[in-house]
Amino acid sequence: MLSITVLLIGISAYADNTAYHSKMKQTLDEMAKCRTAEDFKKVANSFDRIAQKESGEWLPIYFSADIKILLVYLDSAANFEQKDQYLDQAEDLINKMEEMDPDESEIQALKAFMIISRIGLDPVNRGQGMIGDYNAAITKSLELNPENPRAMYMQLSSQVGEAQWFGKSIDSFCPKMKELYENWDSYPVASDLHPQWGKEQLWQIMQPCN
Amino acid sequence: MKKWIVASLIIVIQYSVFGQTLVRGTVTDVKGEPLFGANVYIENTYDGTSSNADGKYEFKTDEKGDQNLKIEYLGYKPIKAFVHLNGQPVEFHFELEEQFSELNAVVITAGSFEASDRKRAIELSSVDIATTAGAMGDIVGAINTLPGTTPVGESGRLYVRGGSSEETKTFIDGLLVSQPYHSAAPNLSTRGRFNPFLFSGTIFNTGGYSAEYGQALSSVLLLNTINEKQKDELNLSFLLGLGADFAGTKSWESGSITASGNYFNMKPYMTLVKQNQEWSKPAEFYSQETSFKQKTGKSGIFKLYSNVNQSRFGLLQNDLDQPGQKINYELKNSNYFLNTSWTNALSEKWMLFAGASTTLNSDEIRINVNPLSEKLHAAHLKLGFDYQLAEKINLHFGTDYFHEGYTYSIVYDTLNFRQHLNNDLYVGFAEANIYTSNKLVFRIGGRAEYSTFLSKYNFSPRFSSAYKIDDYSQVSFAYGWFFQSPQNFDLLFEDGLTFQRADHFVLNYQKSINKRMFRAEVFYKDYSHLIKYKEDGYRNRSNYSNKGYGDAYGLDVFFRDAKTIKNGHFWISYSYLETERDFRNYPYLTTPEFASKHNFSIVYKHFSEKLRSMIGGDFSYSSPRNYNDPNQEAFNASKMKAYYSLNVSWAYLWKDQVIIYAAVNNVLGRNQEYGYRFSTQPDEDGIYAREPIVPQSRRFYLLGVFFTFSKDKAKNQLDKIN
Repeated sequence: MLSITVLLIGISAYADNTAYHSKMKQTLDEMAKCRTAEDFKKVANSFDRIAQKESGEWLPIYFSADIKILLVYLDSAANFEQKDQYLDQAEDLINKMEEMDPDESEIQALKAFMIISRIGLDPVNRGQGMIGDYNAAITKSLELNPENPRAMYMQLSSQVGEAQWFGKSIDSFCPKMKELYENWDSYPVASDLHPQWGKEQLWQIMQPCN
Repeated sequence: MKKWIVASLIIVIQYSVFGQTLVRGTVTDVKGEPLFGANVYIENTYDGTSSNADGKYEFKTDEKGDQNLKIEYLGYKPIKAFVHLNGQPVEFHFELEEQFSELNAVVITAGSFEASDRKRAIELSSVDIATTAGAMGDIVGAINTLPGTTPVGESGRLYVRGGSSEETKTFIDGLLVSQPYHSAAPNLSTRGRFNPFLFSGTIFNTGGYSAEYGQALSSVLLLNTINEKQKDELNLSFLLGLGADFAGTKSWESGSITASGNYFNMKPYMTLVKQNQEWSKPAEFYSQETSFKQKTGKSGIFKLYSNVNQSRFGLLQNDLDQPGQKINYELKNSNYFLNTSWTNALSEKWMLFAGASTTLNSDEIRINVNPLSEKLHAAHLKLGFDYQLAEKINLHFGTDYFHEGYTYSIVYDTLNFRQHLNNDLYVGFAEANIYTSNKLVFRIGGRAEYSTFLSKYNFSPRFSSAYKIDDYSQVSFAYGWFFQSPQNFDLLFEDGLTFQRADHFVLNYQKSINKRMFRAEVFYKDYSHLIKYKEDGYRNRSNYSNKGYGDAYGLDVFFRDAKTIKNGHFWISYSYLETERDFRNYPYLTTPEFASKHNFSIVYKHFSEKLRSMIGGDFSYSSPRNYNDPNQEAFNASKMKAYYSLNVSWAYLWKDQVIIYAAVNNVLGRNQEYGYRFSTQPDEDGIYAREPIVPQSRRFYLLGVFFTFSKDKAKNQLDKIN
């Protein structure tokens, strides 16, 4: 009797775990298929629903925040103030995640992505004040995981952008970018639910090379 | 054993026979407008969906029995509804109420201009203040391009809405700066003491300001030192013919320290650029500034700022009373300013602010052989609290102590005069911010002051309010009484004076959308109890009273556009001012010499990636101001020339760490004239001799090189140039 109860509890716990995993996988697939801003907002809501059930997991919050940042680039109907509001939402979620797990490299990398997007909305006025926080987030992300390809990509991206702005050649960065791109898939990913974005963006900034 | 298994199997089969439950309905706001993209779900499950553009939602759930159906939508209060799921479809229509959020709620803007970087409705950024071409790195110069100000070239201080320069007070991090300007030669422009790059967050209040501040009949300028994370770096700057500045910053996880020193000497510059005056000793000054910031505990920040400064100059002016003779006016100034503050959250609802500032200022002047000295020791202690009384009510209150010790001494012919006074001011203030919703806020406050020297109390009510018409526009109103003690020099000679007073009414409309902002404000100021005296010769005053009075009213318009031109932004200001007063040595009511009826400014900044440069230009115009000609019967009846100036600047990022900067003031070469100065006595024909008051030189040129060396590769001049 006892062993069956234990077995039943074990089965239901395992079922819950696989239920979370399969729901996340399903939602990540939906996210990959999104085209319009409305699609993305629906998927963000899905992640929020998963987050409210799985109070210990930061991953569903991560993707909800990620979508809010992407909306800044994808929602062409949004004006400056609305885009800033997306980033406000992302920032709230990132703060929540930092409290849950202050030592997670991916959260810091996402934070850097949020900050650079803020700067992008008003670079002349915000650049000076916010670039310090951006660099601090990337540094922390790399400290926590020196092999985080997203953090490495963002660091290269800002260095390349800077060089291009000076009219200097980016050749010195090409070998690093090529190496990162070739090795991208070999960097360990903590699970198939963990973030994997960045390779395509890296491809884009690598184009001027060779 | 078998029975249990069979029983559980039956239960499992029974549940699966029931199947899924359909949950559907609509989501609207309280007005019935559909809400698109609301999140509707069964609490603690994954089951749910988003509402569509018509506010409709529909989803199927496997959950059974008693559940909570939750609905969430950003900006609105979430709802939790009890449902019983048994396979029968359920329908729920939700009406969501707006959620109050202080961060998104309406802000009081009447009489207040904020230079901020993060806010959405941005009037100015702190970078704007620091980089306005004509300002030449002087905060006042930049503020003079905003509405509500009259540029007074012969003074260089801030004159707001018909008020004299003493009617504006400056605060750094909430603490008083008693001497925000350098000591200057008579009738020549001075500058502010502080480097605008120190501040991120400037609030320029043109009237109707909070009960937290007082002793300023017209306005307060609130400067806030930088809070953002700083990088380790070394900055060197060289200005051609003028001098050099060095600054080093070291930062750590929880704080930073910046120390800087500079030395300037106008002598080489004066040989390159023709001067309108003759200098017995070209201006020379050096200063040392230190800024320290440290996080304490979880939410505390301790800040310290100190500025030590020595300057001297000697100016030769024609003695209009003795033609052919010159007066040598020499000044030596030393100024020490220290400002420390600590803010800390005591709990979730309580915030504490404690701070102190002190100024030691000494002016040693020699007029030919006659010495004159003015010394000031001033201190400001402040303790303030912020209490979140309820979700929509916030209380802000505190107490201040101001001390002033002022000494004036002069030796002139047979006159040997020295006098000292102590004036302490005790202050208590309180105000409540009461929101009725995100759209409407009321601020009610009061301030009580007691002056030991005057032996008098005053109490001033302050009231302001703001209403959001829609997401992007709002109206705001402010009203208050403002008191100010007479100037220290006048207090030396007269007991029985009392506070001067101004009552303000301000009404403001502003709209801000998509990086464009429009703002219009009307104001009325009623002055009473202004100091009046009789004056026989320079500063020889008697017959003091508080019988002075006057008023000022007008319209200020402001438009800023950071969207239309790619990589460029501009703002336009226009002010209309009508003012008259009877104060100081005026014989009757008249328009003062520091007010002009029309003021116009346009400022443009452009960031060129191709040229790696920041190019700026501004043009300002002021209609002619009055001045007094003793040869005329009527007082203040003469008109100066109109003032206008076109200024340009160019900051070029030459290398990774080097910026070259060039600026020219008054490109058009207008011969500015600010009226005349006159002899103190008429000559034998009964005519007062005169000489025009003109700036130091027709144009002002600045050419400089700035180096930045930083430890972190990512930080460089790129950010400085922006």
